[in-house]
Amino acid sequence: MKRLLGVALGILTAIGGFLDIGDLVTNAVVGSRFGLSLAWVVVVGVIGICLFASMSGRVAAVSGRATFEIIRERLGPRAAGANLTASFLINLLTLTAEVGGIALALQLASSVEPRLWIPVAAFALWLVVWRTKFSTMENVTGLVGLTLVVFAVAVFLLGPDWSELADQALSPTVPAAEGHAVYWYYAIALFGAAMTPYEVFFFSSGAVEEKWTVKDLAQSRLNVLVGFPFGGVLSVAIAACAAIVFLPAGIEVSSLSQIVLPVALAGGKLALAVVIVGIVAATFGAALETSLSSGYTLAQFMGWSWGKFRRPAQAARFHLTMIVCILVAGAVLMTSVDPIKITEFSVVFSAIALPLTYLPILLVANDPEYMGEHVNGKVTNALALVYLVIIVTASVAAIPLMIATGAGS
Amino acid sequence: MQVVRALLGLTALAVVAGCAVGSPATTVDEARALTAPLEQSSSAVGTATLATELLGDDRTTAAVTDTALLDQVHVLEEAADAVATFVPADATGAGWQADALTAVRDAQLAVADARGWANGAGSDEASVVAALDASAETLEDLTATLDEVTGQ
Amino acid sequence: MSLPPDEHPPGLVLDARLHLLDRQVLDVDGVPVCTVDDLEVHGVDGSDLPDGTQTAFVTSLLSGAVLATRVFGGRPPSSRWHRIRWTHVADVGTTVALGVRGDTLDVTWTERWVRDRVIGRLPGGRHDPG
Repeated sequence: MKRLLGVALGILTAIGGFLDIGDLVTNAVVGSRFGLSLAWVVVVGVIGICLFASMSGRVAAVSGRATFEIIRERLGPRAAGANLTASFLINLLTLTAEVGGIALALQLASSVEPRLWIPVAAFALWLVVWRTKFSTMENVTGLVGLTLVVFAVAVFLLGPDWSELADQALSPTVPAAEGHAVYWYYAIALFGAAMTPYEVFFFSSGAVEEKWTVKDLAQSRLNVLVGFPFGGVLSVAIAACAAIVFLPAGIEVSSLSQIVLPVALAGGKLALAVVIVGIVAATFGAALETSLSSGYTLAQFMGWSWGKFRRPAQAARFHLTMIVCILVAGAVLMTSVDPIKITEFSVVFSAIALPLTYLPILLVANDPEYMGEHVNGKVTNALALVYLVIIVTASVAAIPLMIATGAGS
Repeated sequence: MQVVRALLGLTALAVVAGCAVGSPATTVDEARALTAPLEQSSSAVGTATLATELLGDDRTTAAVTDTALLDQVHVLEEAADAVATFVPADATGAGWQADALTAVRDAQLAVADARGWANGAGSDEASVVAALDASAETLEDLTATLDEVTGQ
Repeated sequence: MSLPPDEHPPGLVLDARLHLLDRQVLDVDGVPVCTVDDLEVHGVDGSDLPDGTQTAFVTSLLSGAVLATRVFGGRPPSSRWHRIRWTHVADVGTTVALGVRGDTLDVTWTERWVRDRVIGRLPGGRHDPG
């Protein structure tokens, strides 16, 4: 019974923890402009993150070593240093977007302007990173984040024309009002939102934090393979809500307040309250994960003592890194920059940086020195190669498309 | 080295070409440049209408509607800025610009009024929604006129 | 006919680049200490710049500022090196295990500095996360 509860808890937190500000914003923007004609990208992204996360979880569980230790060991200080610089900066950008998301969600709850919420959000974030146990932190934000299921409920309550939605999703075409370049730009953004690289640092380091061993592999694989696809369903539900309410009205989503309106339309004040709680939990959870990831990547590269299972004083430089990153994210947001804009950039840059983490993980997952008998199987490797092509293509195409489309405008 | 120079040259060309988009040459380009901020304004007014009606039906909280309307004020500000900084080439363009600017300004007024109502100041829901609807219609008509020129 | 001389020097034979450089160093309690940023190598005759014609011994693992010279090139003065003497090394696997506690080593001075000046002074910094 206890074991079953453990399995259920793992899956539920994986679903609740899947969505972050990037998924929320990108899916709603895409839904309002392209309907469900980009839903296939979410499917591609979810399979990708399943593959990727289960590989990095396996590497961490079998070797006991987290991602960036191995990247440094395999690539040497120069290539790994360049990789660290890029990954760290993009992670910081994502952290900034998440903290901004918390502030925007709290604005929806209170109509107090976000600039006043930013210091509060940053302090709360640090307090949790400083004092809370890893498993408590993961379980609470994951379970509360599950309330975002309300997006899926809202789709049913809105009573859409199902055949039209299915048509958009199954035979995707570029809407007349949008160009092909913009369509593909948003395809890459959506892919980056689903496959955010910080998930991988976090997942592999989390496996070390929770002291996973080979025995826990089955559970971790189940969490990923069941939890993430359900998370993907929620992503599509967010896009569907926007597609039902905003696409016919010619409304383009550009703020978090718009994202919750279809839910209010469908379910009234109660649903609205639930969705706001869900957004706060999802962004707060992702902000915790990105804060920790900033500490994990740097500490693992430098060989410092790290981990939330240690007292802060026993992982001093790790904690200092996180404090500095949270302060930087807060300071950037205090300049009144629009968090939604930061989010849009962060998902595209995530797509650009994907090969940097994906390739080393793939190499190590095939390295018998680390993995022994648990190296990748043939099927995994075949799928991994297909994704390598997709990821590299998306990464290379992202910047030219960003310039050509004026970042999707 | 030659490859590098060629690449640099191409980049420079791309940058110059990119800048050139800012100053439209033909009537069609002018109409297209004004359509974008008008569509943006229509989207803002549509959102404002939805947020206002939801509050009237007691389906949202004042805080959410207030935030949604505030966000749309910012969107309209951006659109007004785009229209106001547009440089017309001839009298036709100047006329469109004036119409567009009036339409966007009216939209700003309607949304600001709605926000006032949401926060409990003056007027009633019906007149607020009527003003938003009227603004939406003006914007739509103007967009339709411009669309005829661009042939979309 | 005599047997060829034994060419294997005593001690652990390692490919320094493959087995040591950039590996994580753990102390006797399994706490991360640093990464092997560089190595100090001496020839059998005691010269500190072995030319490759003679057998060389790793005398110390280096960490800290030498990382910058691995990335950008150059060679810092040896007074700036932070060494872990090879005698402290207990085992070399996917990580390098030491037989001593990391706290006592020179290379962890930044960790101690941050702990004593910043992290240890914040409330709750010396307690287990609850």
